[in-house]
Amino acid sequence: MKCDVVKRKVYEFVNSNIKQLDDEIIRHIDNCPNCNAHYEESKIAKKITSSLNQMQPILNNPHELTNDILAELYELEQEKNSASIRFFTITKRLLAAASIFLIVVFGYEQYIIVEKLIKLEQQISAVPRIPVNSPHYQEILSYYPKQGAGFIKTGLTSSIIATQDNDLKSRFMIARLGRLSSEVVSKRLLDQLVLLRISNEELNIINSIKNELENK
Amino acid sequence: MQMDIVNIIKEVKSGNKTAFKNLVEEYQEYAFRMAFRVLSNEEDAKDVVQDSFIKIWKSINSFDAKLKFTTWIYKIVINCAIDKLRSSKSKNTINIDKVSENLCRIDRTNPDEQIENKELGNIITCISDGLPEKQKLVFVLRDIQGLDSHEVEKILEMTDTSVKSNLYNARQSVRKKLSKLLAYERRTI
Repeated sequence: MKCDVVKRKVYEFVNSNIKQLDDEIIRHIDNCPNCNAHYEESKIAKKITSSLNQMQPILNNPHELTNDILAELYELEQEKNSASIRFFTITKRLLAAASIFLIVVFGYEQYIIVEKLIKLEQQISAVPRIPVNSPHYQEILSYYPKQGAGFIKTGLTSSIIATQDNDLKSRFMIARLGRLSSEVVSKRLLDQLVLLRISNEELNIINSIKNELENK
Repeated sequence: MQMDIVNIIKEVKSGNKTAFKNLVEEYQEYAFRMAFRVLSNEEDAKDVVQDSFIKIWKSINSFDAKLKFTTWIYKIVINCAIDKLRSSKSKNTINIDKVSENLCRIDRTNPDEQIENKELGNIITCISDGLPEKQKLVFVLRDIQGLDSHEVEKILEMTDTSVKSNLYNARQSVRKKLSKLLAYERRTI
């Protein structure tokens, strides 16, 4: 029998519940010094480890250890609570800062819009009325009705830009007029002319234009 | 007894610190023995027990009642002990003469007497010194702590085959070490 096999059997015999070794193995151990030494060493090792299993390490001052554990737990809980408080405080501060920021941003936006509207209003109201007999007005009439509404807008635009006296208001008006249909544009222009205290002759011309438009 | 533990766990889960104290008192000694046998040092073992119970408090809600509670606790203790083992750089100076003398005494007689923690730690250190981590853990839990193979498998999350092979190799190394230590003692007598 090979020594390796014997040593394996010895291992099983020493460390498990095998009660007896086979006669063949016992004979081998008796006649083989190497396996015999292995067998003796294994028995001693087993005895010593079993004894070490019986020797219990002693926990000195178990109450002290319990108290240390509970003290650490208490500290941990305290830290956890203060961390929660810190978190809420920081969150509250952040929310307050965010609110202020939003108020400032939106307030400024609103201020800019209101300021722009006021300026626009002021600029529009500062623009003088167009005189009835101005070349500008005459030009408006000369474009209509022969050349149609498209030409009125084009001519009006270039004419008003050229005058420069009422630049902003005129440009603003042109922008609006450009969005309207030609009939609406014409009607509005005519309504404005009526309001400008024009002469009877001129009023007749305007009325004839009005009638012509309505007939269309 | 089992019912008591069930109630204690239930109370600890609900945050009852008195119940936790009972749990600590019930298991700290066993946890200490296990940690000591792995680390061979009383102070390190106490630190590990302390860390382990804090972990137990924190993770008690993850405990599955289908598992054996002691296995769950020992697993935590062993994991903490492994961390300590890996981080601990310092080695105690061991008096080989004293270790050999103690081993001879154990071999010759059947001592019922208790030996000091320090001496016991030195013996365990000497016989398990140089073993790879897995072999050392399997050997300590199976042979010195006296757990059964099934429990060792669960605690160390190892297969049956792995436990058996690591244990076999560890026992062979321990046998050789013991043989040398005992021979050293015989020479010096």
